Amino acid sequence: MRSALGALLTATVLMVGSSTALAAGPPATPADDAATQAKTTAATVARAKEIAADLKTASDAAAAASAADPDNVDKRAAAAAALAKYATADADANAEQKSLEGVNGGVATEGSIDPKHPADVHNPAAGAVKSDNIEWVSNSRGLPNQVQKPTNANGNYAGATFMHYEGLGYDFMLGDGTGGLSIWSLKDPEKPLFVGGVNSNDLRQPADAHGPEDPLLTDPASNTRGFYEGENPTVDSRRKLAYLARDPRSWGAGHPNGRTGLYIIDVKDPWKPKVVTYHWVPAGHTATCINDCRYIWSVGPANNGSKVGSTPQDVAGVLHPEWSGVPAFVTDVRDINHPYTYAKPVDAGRNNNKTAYTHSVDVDQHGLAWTSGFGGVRGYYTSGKHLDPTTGVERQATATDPIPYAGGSVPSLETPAQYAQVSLEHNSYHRTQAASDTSSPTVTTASGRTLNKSDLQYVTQENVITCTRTDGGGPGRFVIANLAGSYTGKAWDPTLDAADPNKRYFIEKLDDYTPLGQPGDLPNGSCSAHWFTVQGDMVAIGFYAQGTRILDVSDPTDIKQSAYLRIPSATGQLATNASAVYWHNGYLYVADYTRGIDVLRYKDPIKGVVQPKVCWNACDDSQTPAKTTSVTTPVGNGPGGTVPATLSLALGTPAAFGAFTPGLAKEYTASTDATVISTAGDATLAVADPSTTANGHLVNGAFVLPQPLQGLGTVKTYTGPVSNDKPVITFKQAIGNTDALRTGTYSKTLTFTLSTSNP
Amino acid sequence: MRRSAIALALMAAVVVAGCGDKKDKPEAAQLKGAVAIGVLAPTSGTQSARGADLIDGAKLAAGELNAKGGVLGHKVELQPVDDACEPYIAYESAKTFVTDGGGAIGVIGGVCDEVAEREVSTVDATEKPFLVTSATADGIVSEKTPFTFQMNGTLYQQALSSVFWMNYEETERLAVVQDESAESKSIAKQAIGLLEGQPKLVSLQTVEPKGPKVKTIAKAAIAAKPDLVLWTGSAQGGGELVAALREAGFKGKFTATAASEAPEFLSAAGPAGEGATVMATGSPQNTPTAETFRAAFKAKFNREPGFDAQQAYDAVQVLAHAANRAKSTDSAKMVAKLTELDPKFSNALGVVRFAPDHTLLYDNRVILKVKDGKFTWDRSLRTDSLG
Repeated sequence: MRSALGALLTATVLMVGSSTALAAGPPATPADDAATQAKTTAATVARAKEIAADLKTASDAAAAASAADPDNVDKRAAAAAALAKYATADADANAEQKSLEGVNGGVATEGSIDPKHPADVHNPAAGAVKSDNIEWVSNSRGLPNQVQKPTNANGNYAGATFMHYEGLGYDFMLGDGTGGLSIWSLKDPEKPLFVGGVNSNDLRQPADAHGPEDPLLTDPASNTRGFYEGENPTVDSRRKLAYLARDPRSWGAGHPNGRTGLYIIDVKDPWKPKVVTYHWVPAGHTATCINDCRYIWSVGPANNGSKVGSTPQDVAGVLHPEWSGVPAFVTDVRDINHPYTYAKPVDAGRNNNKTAYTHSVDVDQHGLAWTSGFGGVRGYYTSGKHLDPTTGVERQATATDPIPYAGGSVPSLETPAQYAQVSLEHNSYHRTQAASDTSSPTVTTASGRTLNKSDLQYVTQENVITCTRTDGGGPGRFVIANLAGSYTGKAWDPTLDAADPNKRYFIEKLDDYTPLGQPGDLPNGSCSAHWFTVQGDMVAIGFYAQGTRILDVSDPTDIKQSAYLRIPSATGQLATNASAVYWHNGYLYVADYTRGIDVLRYKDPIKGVVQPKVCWNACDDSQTPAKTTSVTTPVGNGPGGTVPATLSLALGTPAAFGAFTPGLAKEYTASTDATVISTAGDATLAVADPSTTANGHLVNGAFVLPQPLQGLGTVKTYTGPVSNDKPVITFKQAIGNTDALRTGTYSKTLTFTLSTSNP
Repeated sequence: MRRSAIALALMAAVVVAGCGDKKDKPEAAQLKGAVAIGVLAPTSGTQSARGADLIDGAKLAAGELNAKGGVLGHKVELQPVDDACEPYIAYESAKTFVTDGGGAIGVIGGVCDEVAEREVSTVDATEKPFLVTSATADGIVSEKTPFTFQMNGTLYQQALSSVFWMNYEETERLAVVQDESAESKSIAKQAIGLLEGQPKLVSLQTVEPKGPKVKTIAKAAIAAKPDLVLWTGSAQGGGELVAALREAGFKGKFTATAASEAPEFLSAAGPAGEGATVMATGSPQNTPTAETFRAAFKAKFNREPGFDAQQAYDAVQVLAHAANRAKSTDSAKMVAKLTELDPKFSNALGVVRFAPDHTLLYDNRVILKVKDGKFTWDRSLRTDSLG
């Protein structure tokens, strides 16, 4: 598969310096803490085993000392502490190993579609209303919207996501909606091939303790809706698992009778997906993987579900009548056979201290989890050690106890009295710069205003009405907001009061967009903003009946429509009802509530710097292909040779500064080298410090060198293909004569990135 | 023997096929007379009291079912078979069901770990549903035992529960003390393996006969400034440890795993045991929602039911429900219903449902707190009720 082209290659190396002579292996640092690691890799496994071996030696020595003097409490305590450290490290090594063993490439051979699935339907797109720079490519219905009506042309998809199958070498797309989960092969990315799924009848459970059980969907005359509806499906692409949130409105139920929950589906074999577990969770409108899919945050819906008549719906009493919606409930899915949901939710009090509907969780490129819902957007650390701005205390962030980062209420067009009751912050995207993006961290607007790129938050506000209506402030919009000033925990200020318009905290709105009045609008059609994805400075968004819109957000204060495509209703043709639009591997895939999946191609260049990941939901690796150009198909059968897409980076011996001498002003130098092979039209080798702790500085435990490490940034750029080039990467570290140095090793793990924008 | 079982099964299939073309006729033929449920229980040997308890629990369930019309309209009968809690006897006992399931629609039992391990492979090969009532060891069931399910939480689940409990308690610094038993070390090791830094393990010690005194161990644990001490060993040892901890000034929380739910813990701990928690296994004595069962058992047998009685009662009810739900005693159809979430499939702690690895999806772990020198109910650790 050509997806190797355009891929971004990263490697990490540990950068070390020491105030004493370097040992053979560096001691454990905070960066080695399992809780700070967002992902399991072969390197984390090896490092964990190395640390465990070192600690076992220390533990054995302490145990021997204690055994020689058995009732000496100090020696016994030292031995107990040393054994605890070793046991923790050993457990970590085992967990890392197990986690890595769970990583799989899926099946290695192509299967055949289960004959129980109906034949696919391909909806046409005659007379598409569109701009010249976008074209419709193909459509696939997948499973029908109602399993009991297999010939329905309607394919209902609330969302989709992608998964790379290493065993096969190409991607698959997973979409879900009322018909259940559908899976398509993207071996030919222009023409998704429906290969399998789990229809809504197979998802059903006699699960509804609050009313009748889920009905069988076998009567062709039945109009009962099936599964509902797994908006924003989340996947563990490394372990080949899909997680679908069950909304209480599934199988014809409604608020508050229906049960919420989580389906865990093994999709190692995309032709034969298998439901592992259905697990009750108090929330279930959307779900997002957190921390390498070890945890799931399930959120929504809008009702609090706390009462069925006068009877509490949830025996444990975790849902509260005073809430105006369901916040995020955390489920531990490290053991998918025994998932465990914590009673205490996160993102509570999101609307100025009133707990409200959390609608979506979207992780950014740096691992921050951003929640959207009534009351605005809020970002959280879920791993690593950070300062909690609400307490002023540095602590460990976890999926079950995250640390606030930034955010606040987003200005809407509702009246103050209506605020957070009509216009819903539906989903959002935090703009970040990857290490490979060495462009300016700021953007200057047409009016001369300078904004930090990382302060920009793209948000959809949902209000599903037609374009021309004005109730609730009018139809939902796409909004760009400014996080500046919100990093001190203002959105968590205990004095805020949702009921008092003067005691709400808002971040700044820079601009908004609605299709009304734009080329291609359908004024009397459904008009609200929905799910979107971002590539460079281009936003691809679904706008219900307004179809797909491509927005140019180069100037955050002046959003421009760059392209549009909507398909009108015609005889034998279903009209657009776009829920979500995804940039993926040079194409746009539209999850449509009526048409199924449409494939589009945007033909103009992508503005801005394309980030390595097209992040939404969990920011999963499979959402990453940065290809921005159209895909071409080889033509002709004549003689010739092909060059496989290659982007290869190998690192030499890690750079080491040797011993730093305290009290002596000196600049230390260390070098390493790399081997670069690239067949791309251009390439850039860069090195960055990915850590959020003392970024750009070497650290020794809690001690940070005051002067920054020099040599980060772009190492070398290539304007054409290159083979076995060996650039030397030099780092410098200045030490001042008054710089305090702590005994031990100062180090950092750096990320080397080889990227291309012209594969 | 396995070969002959297959041959007999094939012969039966031929006979059934010849009965006619209506789908319900095979059921009618199979269910002529009573519906039998096999019960593997130690009616002899050192565990005979547990065996009697198990059989009485099953009898209570069968009686209640029969009072309501039985299973699929047929009276339920029990087929007790003595396994003596001895592996070599258990193997022969299990073979009772090799030939066409011995006429049973399913089997329950398995009190001792080693015995259950021996029985599972044989009974599972008969392709009759087998509910292992009481054994708690890891690895007794799996996806490789497609017809067998474990009705008691495993040691691994006990470790998993301990980590969930520590999260409920918002524990940040944890000290673990274990004893020399394999079970104690297994729970401790598995719990540590699940921590992932939340809470942080700051001290780990083993109580050994020739090792330091428990007072030294207590002081060494306190030196690490834990806010919770977890004990995974015996009841007597747990009581001694909490007493030593309190005497040394420990003000934090103390939690022990299931083995400590015994009088030896209370007597060894004395007043120092007040406030301590035990992650116990749900039983008729410690679970208020089991009171209906407990009262019915006492009324019928004029004695208190034990843990095995409740497990057997639940197992018979679950088998019956699976058959009724499947509208069949066909093993595959019954097993399919066992893995389906059904709110009516419940016992004193809630829904009974099995995970893909054939252990309980939601296990039977409960929290007891020592109050006024007694174990008192605190809460269930299950989260399915959150949904």
